[in-house]
Amino acid sequence: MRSDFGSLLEQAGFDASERGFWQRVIMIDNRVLLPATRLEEGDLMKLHGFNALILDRNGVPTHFCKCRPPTKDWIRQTEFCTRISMEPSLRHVLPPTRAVGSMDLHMAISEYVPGRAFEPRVRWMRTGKLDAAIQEILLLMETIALRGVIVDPEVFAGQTRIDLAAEAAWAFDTIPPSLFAPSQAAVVRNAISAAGSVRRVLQHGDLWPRNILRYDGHWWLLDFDTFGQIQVPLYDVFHMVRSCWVLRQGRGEARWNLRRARLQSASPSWVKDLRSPSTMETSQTTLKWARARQGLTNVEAIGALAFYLIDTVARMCRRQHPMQYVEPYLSDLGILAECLSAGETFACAFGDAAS
Amino acid sequence: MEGVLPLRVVRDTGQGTLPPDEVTALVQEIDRGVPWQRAISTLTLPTLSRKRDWFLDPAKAAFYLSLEVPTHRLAMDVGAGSGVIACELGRRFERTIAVEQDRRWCRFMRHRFLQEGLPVEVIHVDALRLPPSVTNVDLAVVNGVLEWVATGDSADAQVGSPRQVQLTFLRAIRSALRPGGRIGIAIENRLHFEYFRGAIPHDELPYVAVMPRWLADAVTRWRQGKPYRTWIYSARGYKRLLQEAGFIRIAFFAALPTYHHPEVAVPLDREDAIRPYLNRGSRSKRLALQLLAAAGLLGQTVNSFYITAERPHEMTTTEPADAHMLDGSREAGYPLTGAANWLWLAPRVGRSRALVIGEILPLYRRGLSANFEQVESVPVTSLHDAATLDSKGNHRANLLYEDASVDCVVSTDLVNAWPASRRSPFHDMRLVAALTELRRLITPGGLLFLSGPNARWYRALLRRGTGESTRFVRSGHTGPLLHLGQARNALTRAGFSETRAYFVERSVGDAVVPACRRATMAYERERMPRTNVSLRALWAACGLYELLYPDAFILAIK
Repeated sequence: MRSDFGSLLEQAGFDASERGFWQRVIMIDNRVLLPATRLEEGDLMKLHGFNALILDRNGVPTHFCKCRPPTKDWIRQTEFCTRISMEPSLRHVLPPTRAVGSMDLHMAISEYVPGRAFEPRVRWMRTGKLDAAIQEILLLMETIALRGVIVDPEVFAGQTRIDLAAEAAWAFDTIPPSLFAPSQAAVVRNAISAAGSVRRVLQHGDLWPRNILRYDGHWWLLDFDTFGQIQVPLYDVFHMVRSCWVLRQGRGEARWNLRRARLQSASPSWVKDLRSPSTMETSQTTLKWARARQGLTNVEAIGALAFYLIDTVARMCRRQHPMQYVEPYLSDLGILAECLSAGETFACAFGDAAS
Repeated sequence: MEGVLPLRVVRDTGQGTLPPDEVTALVQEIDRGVPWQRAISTLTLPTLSRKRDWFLDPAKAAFYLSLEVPTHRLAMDVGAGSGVIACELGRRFERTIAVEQDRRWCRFMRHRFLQEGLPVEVIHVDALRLPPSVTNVDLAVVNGVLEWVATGDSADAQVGSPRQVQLTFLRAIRSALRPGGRIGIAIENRLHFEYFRGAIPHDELPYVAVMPRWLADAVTRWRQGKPYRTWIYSARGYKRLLQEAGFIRIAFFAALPTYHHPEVAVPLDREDAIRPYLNRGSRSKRLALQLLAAAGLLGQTVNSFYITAERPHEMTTTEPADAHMLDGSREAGYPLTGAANWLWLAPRVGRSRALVIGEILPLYRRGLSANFEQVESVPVTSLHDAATLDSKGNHRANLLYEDASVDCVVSTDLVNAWPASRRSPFHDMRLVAALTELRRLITPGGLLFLSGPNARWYRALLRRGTGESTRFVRSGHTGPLLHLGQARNALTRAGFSETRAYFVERSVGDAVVPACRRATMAYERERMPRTNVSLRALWAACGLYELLYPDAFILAIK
């Protein structure tokens, strides 16, 4: 007899036998079937399972559950997140989380944060305010990364520096040549190799405005499913800045005009905008600030940028995302390769630090 | 002018196609040995006489021939009609296929291509059922066809909303294209300013094209006695349709003055090039157009579009594909796969035997196989036939299973496929007898899972209001819908101790929401995508939550 969801919730402290309890459980984001037919490590397993929202008797959400197959990766990840969320210094940043599991399902259950999502605000914020907000969030993320190392000293596996080229090798093998031309791949590979090895920093892995809430005067960061798996500095910075850039596309245009612009214009490129001092808004200030804060040279920052793009595309390919989602990243990657071939130094984006 | 593709100057001679009797007369003329071009030029028929250019104008193919394609090996003209575009494709491509569902036009084209000496192969087939042998197409042309696909006589064309039929059609073309292959579409624009002044794009009534679909359908049924199925869209609508069908790199051009007699193809933002074609007519009309131009909307109000899109290159991965995920997506027709995860919401039951009533998606079956050691099936008709009248006049059913021998009974189409039910089958005592019989088979504490399209979904209600009664057509469902209240009553009468009702919303992943006000309100606050959030939350708060969700299911516990 397998353990059911109800018994897991009971392990987590709920009374699933209470009358009307199941009228207070909402299954959201219900994806691939659980139990998984075969249990293996890797990204694909994260597509299995579902999330659930638990309500109290008044219909107010109190807990959020992520139910996934009990892979070693997921169990380790949930335990890591549980320990970090218990850190007193992070009690206004991460919702308290705990993990319970059975043979078929492992669940991370966290307290529900009833805040306002950052995502809808990004589009309409003034540049200076948005910069300040992003920097606050990135500083919080830095604190979490530092606490992460203290909570689990094994997370760096005894290595304080990371070789970008070795770390990106799998990504080059994963992206088929039909999507990314070998000549362009060689340019990107060279840029990553030129960066050499850099200091390891734990990264959130999916830090973008939808995973950020504002509640009770604090920023709350969510979705730590991949926290610590990427340890290349600036990865979160690039992801955050790029996501904000995407959300702010067409800002200042009237609504009808915006639709027209989206329908007719060729899709703009973030990397192309990185080169230009006139078109950038948030990226410039934040990227310069983040690069200086991490103490990286321009070459290292460019290597990290190339790593971010190739890694993202490779992960999307591995998870078999629809092409329409991969396309913008691929296009950025292609443009990055072209820029690097033309000797672009991205001085506008990263400042003129000596390389 | 830069960016403007000149096609050729011809006079506009009107729109439409030939009446069937004229096509027959034309084909008979050619069968008598008259060369096709001479038959068209000399035959005196009311419509043909006005539209001779229709069959001769090579400019109709100019836009498609200007598209970048991977190779020039294979082109396909879907809904080729007289073959005017297929002819031009045949001159440029190594091989061309003309697909047409009208037998007479096929005959006409065969004569035409034979006389022209062109390597064009004519296939007489419904465009919704392209032969599997048609693959690796470099260029597919859909000239004035997309809006008509839902009006065909075949069952495929009749089932589902016109948009769903159009999607099926586009997906069929997408799968026939080679990676990187292009589709070229010519079609009317729903937001063409003349339609707001009473012009008619096809054979509808005035203003129907710009009405909300449900109203357009109701009006057409009322005045013409048939459903409204020649749906056209705005540029945004076409873009969504093509994206949903899996195309990328979608680009729009204004076909000026119309795609029936194109002179130029112009990007929609080139108002300088569009304006000369629209600045005709009364002073007030010209003024209105100037206002539209000032607002930057001129491109959105042209008569018709040329649209191009590309089939993306397939991705190959180093890891083996997740069979569950991919198979499920294809079978279900939408990107969700966790359908059988509802089992986690059910109470703990034995895992030895599950019984499936009726048809079930292979995805569901695999889900059940992962949870139960044995999965057996009983057709709905067998269950229906097993329910008979006893000597006292009561219905009884008798299935060849022992008491309490099944842990879980699952049916996704019991309501939908229950024979001879024009009304809700829950009014049928035979169904109650069948549910009682199913209860007998289930172990104590075991489950009955019953799912179907939600009868109270607002779109279902709208459709019902237009005279279709409960026989609502959606996603292949042609039978009655699942009415949660009636289903709960029937299950209680059948002796089940507890019933739990849920709604299902299909999004990026399914959402399964308990059928109660508080849960739906909480869900609406969390819902992604966040479209119409306020309105939906208001409906839920007002207790109208049943209207919001397209699907529903019930878990009945013995």
